[in-house]
Amino acid sequence: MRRWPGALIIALLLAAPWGLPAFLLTSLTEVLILGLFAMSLDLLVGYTGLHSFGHAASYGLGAYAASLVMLQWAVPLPAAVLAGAAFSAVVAVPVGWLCTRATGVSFAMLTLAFAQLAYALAYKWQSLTGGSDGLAGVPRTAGPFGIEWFASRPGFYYLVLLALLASYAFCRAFVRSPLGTTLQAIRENERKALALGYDARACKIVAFTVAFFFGGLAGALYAPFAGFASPDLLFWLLSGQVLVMVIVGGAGTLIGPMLGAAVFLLLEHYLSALTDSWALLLGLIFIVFVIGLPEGLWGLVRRRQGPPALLRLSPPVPAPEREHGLP
Amino acid sequence: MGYLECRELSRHFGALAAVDRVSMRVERGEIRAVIGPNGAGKSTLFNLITGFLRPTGGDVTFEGERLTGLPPHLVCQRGIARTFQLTALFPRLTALENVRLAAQARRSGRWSIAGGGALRADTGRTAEHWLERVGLGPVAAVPAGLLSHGDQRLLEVAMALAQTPAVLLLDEPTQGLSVEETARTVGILRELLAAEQLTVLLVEHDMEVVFSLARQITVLHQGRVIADGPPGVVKDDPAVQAAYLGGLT
Repeated sequence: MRRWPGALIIALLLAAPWGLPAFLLTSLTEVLILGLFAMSLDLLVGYTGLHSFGHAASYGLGAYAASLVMLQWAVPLPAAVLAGAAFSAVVAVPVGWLCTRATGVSFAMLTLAFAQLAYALAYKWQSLTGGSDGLAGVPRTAGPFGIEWFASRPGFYYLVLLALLASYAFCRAFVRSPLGTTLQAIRENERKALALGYDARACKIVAFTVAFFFGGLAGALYAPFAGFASPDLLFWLLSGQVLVMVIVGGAGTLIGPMLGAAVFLLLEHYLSALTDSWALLLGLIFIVFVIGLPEGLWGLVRRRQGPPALLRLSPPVPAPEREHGLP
Repeated sequence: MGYLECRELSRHFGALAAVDRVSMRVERGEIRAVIGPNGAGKSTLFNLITGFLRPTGGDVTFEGERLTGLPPHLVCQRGIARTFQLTALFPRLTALENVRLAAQARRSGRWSIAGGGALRADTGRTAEHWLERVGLGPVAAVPAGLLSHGDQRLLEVAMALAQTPAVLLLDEPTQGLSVEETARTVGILRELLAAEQLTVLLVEHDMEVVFSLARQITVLHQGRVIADGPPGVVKDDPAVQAAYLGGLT
């Protein structure tokens, strides 16, 4: 019974190209890409307790890598997208190794620093990245034997949907796997996880790498979606926005951040039509969200469905009761 | 050579010698308590043995192999499980998941990033077993952070036992408990220790708890060992009595 809503949503998403006008299908494609991006950050923020403020690095790296292999070597789109994700993951290993030397705010600052470093590189390395103009005219390169179903608007939408569903399936298995449950233990109490014999640092680097893979996948899909890759994809503004999507949607739920991405884009779209100072309104709305709904939108939905299941991030727990009183 | 042994173990914080050339042996199957007034260096000693602190001198060996310098997770992988003086749990995870994670930590499948259903089921059974043994079966599905303080202390013990440790280090298991809760905890510990034939090193403040559990006692005072022996001998030692009276005034 509980699977019905999920099946319904997937059915609606599959049917979308027939029911939606072209511009809405384009918007939906963007929502799915950003949803995938937000979900990848949730692995760090929600499950591992690592508050990365530089996740745009994964997105931008994936976007540039995918764009370059298509522009330079005419690699078919699906392979280029996977290459972008893989490139992002490979970079994540040393970056994660360095960033996880720190914890808390220092970790956030280090991730921010690395993302800005990547931004500066993309900006300055004119010959490779096109500098401030970025890489324009990113194609949707067809594969061998004229396979090019993904080049059309609905075709590309299905490619994105496939990537999102596969990523979600993997991430769901990942957070329930032995290592995934260990990440939650580290989030709850790293010292205790160490005392139990878990190599917390190594686990965090794995989480960082997996998050970068899926963040890179999202970025690698964005470049052929938009037709360009620019340094903005690496900028801290995007890192902040994706963090907002995760928190508004509900950290530690995987689904919540996707919802958060949808709400974010929706609000951005409608508010920017209303007023020039829409960013201010958006900010106010998010403040209300964070204060009034700390478990996020998806937390609100879940609460209506009953108590949280095992391992799901449940609402904050009050201090332990001391019935018998301490001296 | 002792099973778990400290030789001339020292830890200085600046000019303060928190642990000062402590030598101590724990034999296999022995239940040894480390006692001493506040600030005697008991918790520091624990942190030195488990790798949370690096000694400034001396060695810790287990079955003849050096533990000194190993990070905490590798000390644990050698079979040395500990609890913390201030309860350390995974508060938003259920009691069962807390113990399951403890059981999973020493299994080779702990690195897999997908699947792991068989390991989950297996460690889940181990977790259920140990929760039952400490009497927490009924609260298995409750988030650990919502348990009473007494239950949280027992949950930590269950987590340590689920690791099938060679040596169990208990850091003040009755810290902060009421008289009734202390009695319950001591009862459960006595039963478990007798049944499992464990090697235990216990730090404890409460003398009644010490005398009812431990068969050997090491007394620390200002970072040094001032007495070592069975409870009857240690209790009557003039140096021990002086230290305790001195420590209390």
